[in-house]
Formats: sequence, structure tokens, C-alpha cells
Amino acid sequence: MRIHFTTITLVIACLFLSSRSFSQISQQVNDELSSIHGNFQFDGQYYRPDSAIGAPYVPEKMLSNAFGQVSYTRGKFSAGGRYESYNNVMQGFDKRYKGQGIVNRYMRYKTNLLDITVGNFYEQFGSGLTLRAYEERGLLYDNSIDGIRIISNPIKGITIKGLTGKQRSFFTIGPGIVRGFDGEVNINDLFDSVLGNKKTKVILGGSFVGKYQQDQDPVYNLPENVGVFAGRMNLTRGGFNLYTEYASKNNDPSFQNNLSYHDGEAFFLSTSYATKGFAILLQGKRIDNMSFRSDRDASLQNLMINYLPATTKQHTYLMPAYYPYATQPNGEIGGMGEIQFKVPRNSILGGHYGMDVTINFSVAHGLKEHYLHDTAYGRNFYSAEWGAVGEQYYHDFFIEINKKFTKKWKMTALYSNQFYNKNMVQFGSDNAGYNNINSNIGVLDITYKYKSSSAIRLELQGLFTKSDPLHPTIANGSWGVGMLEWTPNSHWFVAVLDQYNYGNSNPAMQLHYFLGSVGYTKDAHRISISYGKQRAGIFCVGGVCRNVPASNGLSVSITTSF
Amino acid sequence: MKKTRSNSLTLCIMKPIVYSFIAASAFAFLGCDYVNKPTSVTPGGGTTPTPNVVTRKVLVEDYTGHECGNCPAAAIKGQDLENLYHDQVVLLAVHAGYFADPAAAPFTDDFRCTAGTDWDTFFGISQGAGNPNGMINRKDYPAGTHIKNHNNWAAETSPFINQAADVKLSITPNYNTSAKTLDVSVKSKFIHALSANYKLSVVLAEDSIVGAQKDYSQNPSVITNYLFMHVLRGGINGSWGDPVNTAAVAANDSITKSYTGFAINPLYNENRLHVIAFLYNAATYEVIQVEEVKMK
Repeated sequence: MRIHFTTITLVIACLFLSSRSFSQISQQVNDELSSIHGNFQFDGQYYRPDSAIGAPYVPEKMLSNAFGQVSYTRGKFSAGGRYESYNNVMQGFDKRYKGQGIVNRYMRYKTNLLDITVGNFYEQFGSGLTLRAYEERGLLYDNSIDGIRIISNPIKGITIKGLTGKQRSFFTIGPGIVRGFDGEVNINDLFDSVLGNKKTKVILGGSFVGKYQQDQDPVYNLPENVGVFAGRMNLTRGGFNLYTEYASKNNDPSFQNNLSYHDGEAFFLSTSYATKGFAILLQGKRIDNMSFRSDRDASLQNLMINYLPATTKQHTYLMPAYYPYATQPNGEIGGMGEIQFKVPRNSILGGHYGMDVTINFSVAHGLKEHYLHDTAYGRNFYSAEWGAVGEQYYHDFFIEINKKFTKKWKMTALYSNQFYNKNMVQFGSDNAGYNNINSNIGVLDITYKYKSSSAIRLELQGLFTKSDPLHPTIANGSWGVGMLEWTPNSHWFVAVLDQYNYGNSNPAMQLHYFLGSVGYTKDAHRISISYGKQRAGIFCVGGVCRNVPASNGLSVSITTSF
Repeated sequence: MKKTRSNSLTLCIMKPIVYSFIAASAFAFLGCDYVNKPTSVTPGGGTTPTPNVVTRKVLVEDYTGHECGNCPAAAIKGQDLENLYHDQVVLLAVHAGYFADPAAAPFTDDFRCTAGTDWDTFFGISQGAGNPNGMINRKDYPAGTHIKNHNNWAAETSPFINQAADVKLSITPNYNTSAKTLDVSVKSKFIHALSANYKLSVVLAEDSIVGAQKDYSQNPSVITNYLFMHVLRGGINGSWGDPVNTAAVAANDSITKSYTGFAINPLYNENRLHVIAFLYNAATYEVIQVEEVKMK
């Protein structure tokens, strides 16, 4: 009896315990499967008019951009959204961002066989020649697609994507319907038993993206359906990588191409080899009439469906990035070569820690175009030959050296020689009347790390070029930049920056642009406050230009994530 | 047995491939349109309004500046529209923003005015979509798609052409040559009953001003004797006009607004001045009717 009782007690105890354990485990599993993530960003500025630098009076006094994003995941299901607020949008950004609202919301259910998203999504086919939907918050660039996307990996080595929807345009959607299909085959994975262990890996892909937009034009017969086809290959073997893609677009008269009915095409090739202490990269591309937007009348950065990869270096220092270059969608041929190597330790140049060297040259030209003028309708057509190179748009040759001298001292030094065809790159016309800008740029960045999380950093930069007396605001000559940054510990930083336009041909515009900043970072939270002046500029894409006025005032930036 | 397994395996693999391929590639059955003949009508064609029917006219605003080298192309598009639709469109060149600022010679002219600058700021044109750009009847505000580039003006204008109007505007200007003042009355006769609130804007525009303009389609690109047309000179009743109604209006209701003693800048050519009046929805800003007469 006693035994029996004990047995029952044990059984009940076991059941109770197992029930508790199951519940705990179940809860634990649920916790592991469910997660909520989000981020928040606020940028605001209090503006003061400053006639010396041309900072205008801002009636609202303070302008701000704010973003809040949240995503919830439970197992195979996820959902999320983003709220944006522009009250009113900060200077320098497109004023069509006005007001607030939920601009992105989605639900996704993901299995290997079918991964389905409804709502807003971002996507890229290949290198983006046919489609790339992405967000770049610093530019307020967001061409997300609001629609349906299906991704499938039916068997190992094959990925199929299909999508349809309309693109975000400020607080609404654009008029054109985007439809796309992409297939990618990883040959080694597909024939795993035969090729799985081979050193050479091959991935083949192809995509088609079409758009539909109604034609209401009373004069022109505009194609309502426009498509882009592309094929691509990626081959790797050890440190060697070769990627190439070709895309072709049928007639797509648009604002960007001045209503040209010429077909478009794009070719992109990137190859690299990397081994210990050495890497080489070679890239080339040819673009002809490849602007592809879901609204044929869109301009600037609005409603782009595809992305034309840059084959020029995107600098991060202020002065080398002063005249930035972007791919010219109407026609460009160009490329980039880069070598990176490490000077060995304990050599004369390398010293105790070695030295990293990067040498880069990139160049972009227009196509050699033969023009035909349509006098009846004021349009310009052209034909362009493969291999024929037109006028130069841009070049950048730079050498960057990174060297650590001791545990406490390190340095980055950069020299760059740049050529910038302002007429074509910004205004899309040889007749815009600006001189080409030839510049020499030097950067010296020295860090003294006096404790494990404490450092002082000094940055000196100079941009040396001629000022254009006819356009002292836009082509403003040489600049000197100095920045001192103190990081007393891992949480705080204090920095002062001065940009001095000492080479401006107009003595009244030889101004200092001082900016002081202080910031605090803890975990995923960052707050920074700046006070000072920012210079003016002109933002142009495809012949449409917007002035970005100078500003003077107090800025606050808060970012956090969870 | 082995064969059966093989079949099952094949089916197991093929089924998901087929389903997923069909699901994903459903988007791929898309076509492309190849256009062999780019135009359907010859320039200068257009349509003729139906007699005795009041139709909706179209306000085409061209936001421009004398240092905007791509802006003359937009002015040509505006002129094309006028050639196509004659007096069914009313053009207004609004010089505002950075490219309209007076600058070093020869760009010393100042064609800006308070109304133009206020509109440019409010609709976010030179600081938004940039120059050149415009609006057609101010449609699609505030979604962000109200700004239309000049290649799109014809397509945006054509749906309004011959559309029956809700209101007829009649402008009666009375210019005092010696005092250089303008009295003007604008009668809004409602053809249909309307429930929204509307505002009336009355503005002055000047034709045939000769001055300097950048034009990147020309070499050299500085045109010193450029002919500026339809230049907005200012608002007669402010930048945003006056409320016409604050309650619903019935069909055949008429409301007249009068303005007296508006001083005309003596530098303006009084023989080239036009009075433009437009009625717009106070909430959406869409222009439902526009009219233009010569001031003198």
C-alpha cells in the first residue's frame, strides 16, 4: 500500500513537474520564437538666418525629421511598420516630405518553399540593374514596393522571386505598376553530389522587370508597358571573384531621357582577387539610357526601379567627397581599379605594425553620341556605339595609407586628384557655363589613444582648386578643414570643426563654417547636439536642380534601437 | 519498388518546384510595348470646345527662374500646350526660389513676387522637386504628386479639356490710366450645386518682357534678349485670395468679388498686363476654374 501510495505520489509529482517543465520549456520556446525589434531616430534643427553664408529665414524656426520602426517576429511569421514625421522637413531635403504617417507596413510568412510578403518590402535582383528597392535614410531615399512578393527555394540551389506592386512616393504611391521575376541557380548546390566540393563556384541568374503606366499624352504615343531583361553570372574560386551582368530595356521615353524612344542597355563587370596582405579589384560598366522609373515623369531621386552601380569610390572624408559623382543614367562608360596591400611588419616602411596601402583610380566618360534633333517636337535623339568613348565626366586617383606607429598613435593619410565635369554631371548640358573642376585633395587623420577607451583625433584636410569668379557660390575654390575630436571615454565625444573657404574668388565669401558637437552613446542609444554653420550646395539629377541652402543653428540627433 | 521510390522522390521534388515556379513566375507574364510611331497628332492640332457649354479651363503653372538653364524647355512645353488647346489653358510663369534670385549682370532682373514665393514655399517646388517643374490645376496636393514636370503637362492637362465646368468666371477690369490703379470684379456663377468651400485668387501677369535667361540648349547659354511670357507679377487679393463661400452653393448662384485701387507698378508695361482669376477648393487647393483677360 505504501509502495502504491509512493508510486502514485511519484507519478503525480512527475506529472506535475513534467507539466511545469513543459510549460516552462514551452514558454521558453515561445520567448525564443517571438521577438520585437525596433529603432527610433530624431533629427531636428533650430535655424537662425545668416546673411553672410546665405542661410535663409526659416518661418518655422525649427524643422525635424523623425522615424520610428518596429518589427515583430514569431517563428515563421513577421510583421512590422515604420512611422515617419516631417514637421516640417529639414532644409536640404525634398519639401514634398510634409506631415506624418505610417509609410511602411508589412506581413511576412517565411518557409523554404514559399516566403510571402504583403505590404511594403525591399528587394534587389542581381546588382540592381533591373530592380533595387531600398531605403537610404540620410538622403530620404525610399523606393519600397507596396505589393506582394513571393520568394521560393523549391530545392537546394534554386531561388525564385516574383513581385508586383507600386512604389512609395512621399506619402503616397507612384502611378506605375511594377512587376518582376528573378531566378537564380547556384550550380554547385544544385548538383551538390557532383560539384559540391569543387573549388570553383558558379551562380547564374536572370530577371525580368516590367512596369505599366497609362498613357494620357495627347501628342505622344507612349509605351504603357516597359520591360527590362537581365542575365548575370558570378564565378568564384578561392580568392578570385568574377561578377558580370547585362541588362536590356525596351523603348522608355521619359522626362529623364528627354522622351527618347531609344532602347536602353547596361553592362557591369566586377572582378577581384584577394589573398593575405594583397587585394585587387577591377570594375567596369557601360550604361546607355537606363533610367527606369515607375513614373516616366518622375525626376531627382523619385520612383527609381533600378540601381546603376557606382564604379567610383564613395569617400567618407569631407573634402574628397566635396564633388561627389553619381552614375549618369542617360549614358556613361567607366571603371575602377584598386589595389590594396599591406607593407609587412618589421620592414623599413612597415615598422612594428605594418602599413596598409590603398591605390585607386576610377574614371567615367560619357558615350560617344551622334545627335539627331527632332525640330517638330523639340526632342533630341542619339545613337551610341559600343567601345566609342565620349567626353570625360569624372576621374579620381587616390592613395590612402593607414599606419599604426605605436599602441597609442595611428594615422590615415590620403591624397586624391579629381576631375569633375560640373556642366554634365550636375546640369546635363555642356552649355551650362561652368569650368571643369580639377582639384588636389589631402587628408591627414591622426589619432592619439591615451587610454583603452579614450582618444584625441585630429583631422586636417585641404581641397586645392581654382575658384570660378562668375560662380563663386557654386565653384568656390579652395577649402581648408580642421577637426579636433576628443573621446574621453566610450560614452562621450566632443568635436570642433572648421571649414574655411579661403580660396573663394569673392573675398566676402571667404568664410569660416564652424561647427561644435557633443555626443553621448550608451548601449544602443545615441544623442548628439551640434551648433554651427553648414555650407550651401546644389543638388541636381538629370537637369533638375534644387538649391540646398546654407544653415546656421542648433541641431539635435537622437537614435536608439531595441 | 526502387522505381516507385524514384517516382515518389521526383514527384516530391517536382511538386514544390512546379508550385513555387508557377507562384513566383506568375509575375513574369508581362509584355512590352514597342512604339513605332511616337506621335499621334501634329503640333498645333488640339480640340475645339463644344459650343454653348462652359468648360473647365486649365491653370498651368510653370515654376521657373532666369538662372535655371533647363527652364526654357519647360516654357516651350507651355507654349506647345497653348498652341494645342488655345484659350482652354491659362499659363502662368512663377519666378521663385534660388534660380530666380537677382544675381550678377546680366541676371539683375527681379521677377519674383510675394505670391509666387509663398506658393513656391507652400507647394515645395524649388525646394522640393526643383526647377523646372509646375502644377496643373494644383491637382494631387498634398499627396506629394502635385508637382508635374513639363513632359507631363500635356498628359495632365488633356483630361480637363472639354470637361463640363462647375463654375463660370467673368472678369471685369477697369484700369485708371492716369492714376495707374486697377479696379476689378470677378463674378463666379455656379453651374452646379457645390458643397465645398472655395477661394478666389486674382493675380496680375505680364507678357513680352525682354531680359536675360540661361538656356542650356543654346551655346552660349546666356540669352540676353530672352522673351519672358506669362510672368506672375503679384496677387491682387493676396497670395491665397478670398473665400467665396463658407456654405454650400446652389446651381445658378452668383457671387461677385470686387477689388479697387490696386496700384500698378509704373515699371510694368500696362499694355502687356493680364488679369487672371482662379477659383480653388479651400481644402484641397485644386483649381476648378480659371479665366484670363487683358487688363487694358
